[in-house]
Amino acid sequence: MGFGIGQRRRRRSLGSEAAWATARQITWSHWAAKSRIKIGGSELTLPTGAGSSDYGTDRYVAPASPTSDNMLRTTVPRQQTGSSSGVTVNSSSPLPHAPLPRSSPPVFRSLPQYVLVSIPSLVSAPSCHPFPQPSPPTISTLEKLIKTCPVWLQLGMSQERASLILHSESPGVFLVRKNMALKKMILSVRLSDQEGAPKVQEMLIKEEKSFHAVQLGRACTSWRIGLNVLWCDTYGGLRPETSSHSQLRLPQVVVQVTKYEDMAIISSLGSNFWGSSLNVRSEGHHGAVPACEIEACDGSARLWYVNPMLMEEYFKGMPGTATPPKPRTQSLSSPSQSQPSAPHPFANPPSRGRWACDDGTPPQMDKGGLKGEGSDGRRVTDRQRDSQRVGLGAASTPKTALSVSESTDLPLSRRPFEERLEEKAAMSAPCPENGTPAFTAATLGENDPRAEKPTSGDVRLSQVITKTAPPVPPPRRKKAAPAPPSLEGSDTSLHSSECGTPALCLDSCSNSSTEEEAERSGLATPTMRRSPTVILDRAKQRLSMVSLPQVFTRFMKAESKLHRRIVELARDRESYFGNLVRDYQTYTLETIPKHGSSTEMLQEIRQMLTQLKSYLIQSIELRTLQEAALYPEEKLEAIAEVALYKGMLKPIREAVYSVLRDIHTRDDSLRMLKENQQVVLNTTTTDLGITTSVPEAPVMEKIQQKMDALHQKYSPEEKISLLLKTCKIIYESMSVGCPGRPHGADDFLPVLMYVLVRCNIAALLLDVEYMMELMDPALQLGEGSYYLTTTYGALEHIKNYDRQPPTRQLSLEIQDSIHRWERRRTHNKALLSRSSVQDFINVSFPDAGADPKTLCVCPNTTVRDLCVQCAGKFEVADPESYGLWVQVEGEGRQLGLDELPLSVKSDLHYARPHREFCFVYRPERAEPHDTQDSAHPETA
Amino acid sequence: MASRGGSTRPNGSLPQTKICQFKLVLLGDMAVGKSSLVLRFVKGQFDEFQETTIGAAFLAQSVCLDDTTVKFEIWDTAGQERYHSLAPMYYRGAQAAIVVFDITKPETFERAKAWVKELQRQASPNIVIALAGNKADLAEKRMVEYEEAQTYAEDTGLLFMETSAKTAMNVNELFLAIAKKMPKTDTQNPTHAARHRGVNLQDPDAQSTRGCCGN
Repeated sequence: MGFGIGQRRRRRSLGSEAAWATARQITWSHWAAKSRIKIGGSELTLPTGAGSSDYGTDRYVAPASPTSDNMLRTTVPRQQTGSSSGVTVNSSSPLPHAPLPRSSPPVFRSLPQYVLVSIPSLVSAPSCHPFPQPSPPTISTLEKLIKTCPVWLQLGMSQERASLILHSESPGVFLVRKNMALKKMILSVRLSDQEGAPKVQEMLIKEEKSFHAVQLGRACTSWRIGLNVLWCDTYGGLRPETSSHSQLRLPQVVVQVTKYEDMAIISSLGSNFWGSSLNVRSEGHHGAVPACEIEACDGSARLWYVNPMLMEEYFKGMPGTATPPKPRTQSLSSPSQSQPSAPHPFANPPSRGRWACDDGTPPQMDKGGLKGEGSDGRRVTDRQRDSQRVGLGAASTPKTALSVSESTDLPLSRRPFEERLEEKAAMSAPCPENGTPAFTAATLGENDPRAEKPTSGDVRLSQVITKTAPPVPPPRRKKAAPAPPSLEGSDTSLHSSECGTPALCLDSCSNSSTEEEAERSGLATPTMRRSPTVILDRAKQRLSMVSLPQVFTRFMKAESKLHRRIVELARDRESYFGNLVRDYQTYTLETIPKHGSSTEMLQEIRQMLTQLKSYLIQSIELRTLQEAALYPEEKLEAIAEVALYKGMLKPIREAVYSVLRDIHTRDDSLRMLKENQQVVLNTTTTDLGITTSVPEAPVMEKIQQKMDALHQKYSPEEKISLLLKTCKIIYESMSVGCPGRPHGADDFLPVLMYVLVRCNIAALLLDVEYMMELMDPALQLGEGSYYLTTTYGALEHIKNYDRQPPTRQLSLEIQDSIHRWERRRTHNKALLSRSSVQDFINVSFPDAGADPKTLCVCPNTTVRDLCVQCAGKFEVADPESYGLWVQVEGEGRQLGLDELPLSVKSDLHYARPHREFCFVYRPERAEPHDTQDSAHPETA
Repeated sequence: MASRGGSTRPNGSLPQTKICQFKLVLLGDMAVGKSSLVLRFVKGQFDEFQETTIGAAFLAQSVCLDDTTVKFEIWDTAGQERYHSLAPMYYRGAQAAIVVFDITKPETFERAKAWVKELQRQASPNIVIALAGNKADLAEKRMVEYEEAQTYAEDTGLLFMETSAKTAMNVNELFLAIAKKMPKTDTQNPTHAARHRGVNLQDPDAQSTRGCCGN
């Protein structure tokens, strides 16, 4: 039972992550404040026995330990956790270099994300032994960790019981529980005995979706999951302020176990292990192990899990010659400290895997970080190589790290660091690293208020940060070659945390998102995110490994590249398209609260999407993208559509939902729906017309999770895809009683009703509208439409449940709304297919470049019409005295009232050589026409 | 024309094929065999033309008529009276409808007539409506005479067939007949939207045989 249970538990824990994601508000800071924990990052070092490769460590290319070193130094000012004995060394013995790392910003970006957890290699080192012995463990710690998951992962355990258990354990021993109320995982860790301090500390584990994403990218394996959990734990658990060190340790007996059979016995005990005679506790744990010790054992075979992303960035930023950062954390630094001249333990590690990122060319780093650190670059590279051994567990870490970075309790050191970072970012506008800096910053400052106000310098930072904040995508610079996929993947994961909604629809539904992100990571796009749900699903469905090669190939898919390009373009402040997108966003945010009807509002947004898309398809900017050349227009449109979800929809999702909620609160439909939800809940299945089996509790739970995930998405297509998945689950549960019997609508609809009233129906109401109105009109028919219609119908039916004579019609209104819906969509489709001309124009007022507004124009809109619009838009009192000019590289020409602005724009836009132009609305008198052209139709 | 059997065989590979996509809604009382009918149709076709769907409430299937591939998106509706009010959401925008009744249950025929009336009043004016007297294999329990239904159908301008989802009798024929009546201009692919109002469909019987071989 042992492992099986463990798996189940893990699944459950995974399943709840969606919930965490939503509830992410509860942050570390809160906890940290209480516990006064400073977390920078923690490192997870897993000593791997020589034989530890069972889990395919080579596959996960290990970021070299060196990296981790660097990271550690930079990142975490404080502790590392444990060593074989579970001892962590850290803050207690400040290294000489320690301060340096803080100051080096660049490195940091990654740092926060990584939680470096050093898991004591139990096998190799006796708990008390300060220096772990290199003796090869027969079973790696990681493996132990995974396999004993049933022991330490006790989601259902109460706090009291956990405290009780831990009380008699040695410091560092931990349990992972779940707080049902908060729906969050909690790490309970036994602290070392200190005066006045509680012996057991509880910490919230902040889940980041990214984590999962990472997993996806690399491989979803049970161990990974277990590890992740641990990670989180570790992260959280790392060092209470009071104690100089804190480590997570596995119970002594687990540490010492050498046979799989024994371990199986241990895990089979589950929570009973703690009270069993097997659980022998040894005394004499001691505090920190000197960093050097860790190093020493490193040589033996330590498994480092490092977020590949970090690694990549780190190395990228680092000039080959750059001096290696000084060790920031003691543990890392310890080598230098204790045996400065001694060869770094990692230096000679057996290299097995290949470092994913290691292309031999270490990137130049952001100046700040690495240089400051001052170690020698060579060492770093060596380490990189060494790192091969390392597993890429890091992926999981990032999420943790993010959570850690909460502002409140940042260690003092961190603040300066961040500031520096920001400064640097600002200064190094070029941000050579593809905006990586942003990334870093974001990570670090996730909750830092400063981060949220993007200054020029920290724009990127802010982006990253924004998980909760309304996402105005910061502009991104184009950048450098994409990083190696693997790294990217991790990067993504990090980002994912930022918003509840995963990035692309593709993301959620397919690997594609992952791919995309991966690619992006190279660019260090601040905004990447992963959809947790997808990953979760996968993780749940199979805990088996996904082969990396596959994933990578997919990453490389040209389509996702193009997608990424388009998203970049949409965020590029320099590009015309990017500006348009931004204008639209601004416009939308301003105007949506004024809409009286949800349909109207959503339609307007849909039209913008359509317009942006049709603009994009024709734009030079797209054509100049190599990637675009491969595709026919139709395909381009599809890709652009998805990219626009990200570029345009994602940033406004929150606002849209909030307006929808207001509207439906005002029209009372939310209240009606909720009231009738109760009524329907109390209706028997027979009365609902159900003749099949209905989903049982666990399935319902799964459905609810899907629905929650659906709610979080910003992409209508992703939402629809989740809706379909939900429906599929419903079908499956209907067949439980009589497999093989196909179920048509007679059977399905009633069960759907049954299910819906057991979900967050209010959220679904908004979701359905969002999907219906914003989905790509090109997908006019199809399964998605059917189930969307059915869901909408079911919701309406519920809303009117009590008032409905069993036989009669839905209100005409509702019928009409569907009807109109179809018509609109047809109309939109027509609009799209017309795809002739851009339907908008930017007009400045009163001078070129000043206060540009985006105005919608049709191909047959005349200047006269446009002037009327401008008058309104710019609130001009005497429109008669104003006219429209087009300014081409400084030369202005007033347009005739009967000219067609779009033709003018079009001509100029495609004229070669290309010349800058803009439209200006200004007083005629003020600017006598200085046109070279004859037309001065102001009179017309 | 199409070679024997060719018309029902889904065949997307013909270069000249034009693709028409239609929404077809299924109406009828509960348990008259709406889904069975459609499933029989869908399953009887070649898999390559069958789109996988998550459940039987929505199915998609293409059939080939000479130069045209007709893709049906089949929207099933819940037949329970209490969900009647949702039906308009389904038939709005549908280009075709099959109203199904059970020949052993006269009340379902009455209900079918009500559906037809409603469709004629509220659905799109050009909607092609077919009436299907299902469960024809239960002839011994027949309660609705063929002639009665036939007459009704003629009077109201419907396609009519008695079908059996169980034996597949007339199932493909019914869908083919509908396919032939569909205006072929409304296509997915407007460039191919030649007016083939009446596609040449000689030998309809032969055409339909292919798909029903399963029964």
